Amino acid sequence: MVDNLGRRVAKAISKPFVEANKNLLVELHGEVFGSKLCRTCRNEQILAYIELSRLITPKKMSKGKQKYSFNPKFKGVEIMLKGHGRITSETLTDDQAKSMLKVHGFAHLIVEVAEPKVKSEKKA
Amino acid sequence: MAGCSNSLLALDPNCDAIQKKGGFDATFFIGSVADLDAVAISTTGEVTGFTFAATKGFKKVTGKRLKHGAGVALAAGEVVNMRTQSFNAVLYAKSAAERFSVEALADAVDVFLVTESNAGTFEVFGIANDPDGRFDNYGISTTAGDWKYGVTINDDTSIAMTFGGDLPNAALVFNEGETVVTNLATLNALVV
Repeated sequence: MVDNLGRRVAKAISKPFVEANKNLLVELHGEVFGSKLCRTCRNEQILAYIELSRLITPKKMSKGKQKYSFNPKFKGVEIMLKGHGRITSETLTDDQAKSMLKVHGFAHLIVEVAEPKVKSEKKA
Repeated sequence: MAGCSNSLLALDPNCDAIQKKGGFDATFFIGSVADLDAVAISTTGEVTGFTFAATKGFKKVTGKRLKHGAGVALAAGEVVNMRTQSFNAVLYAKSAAERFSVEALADAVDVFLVTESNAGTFEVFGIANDPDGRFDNYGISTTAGDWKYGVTINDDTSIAMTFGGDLPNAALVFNEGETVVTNLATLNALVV
């Protein structure tokens, strides 16, 4: 990556997200993504893009793809699970879901997130 | 420093709340907080389910209707205000087995109980709606007991037993959207 852009990214992400200049992050995000200046350091460019994406949308990016979620029927319900504290549909992690499924009585509450259906390609 | 703000909420009770009847039904369900794996609770503090560890569950205790009583008193503290919950059970025992059950209740530590009120609600005593979900750090325990034998034929021969403890909340309501029949079936299904 061109040195100047690299330095600007490093400086922008060096602060905690709450203190970071969000407009600058968005601006750099677009600049890194669209940058054709770098010809030899593609990995660095991708890493910078991922880091900026994570900073701009921290919640969306932090959980990643979930295998389990709360059954939508139980929207608004929170679970006080011994040893795990309070769990909501927003904070449920796959590890917690697996641990809850091991406990009798949670099968109705935890559901597997359906994989998006991939359209089958037409045969030639 | 910003300090702590009050999270005040409006209160406009409906007629049901104003005309809420007092007292409890004859039967209550009692369990150990330590036997619970989880408590499902809504954001407004309605308990919607209990999950016990394998082989654990409620014990059903039956007395007479209009005999059990309960109360909650605010205990203002230096750091936070607690609610001292107390449930006053009136029990009856004659046989050895019945007396043995009362002895076990007399030694109860960190238990919780669910009881049907005459207002049609199921009241939950001993479960903490803890902001961090640490319900297992609380419970109510037996704090008083009085075995009465009487003098004359019609004297009271009941056993008065009080379960009490400090919690961050008053009694919680169990599954308020369900009918009494459904809630009783749910609770009976958890009896071991």
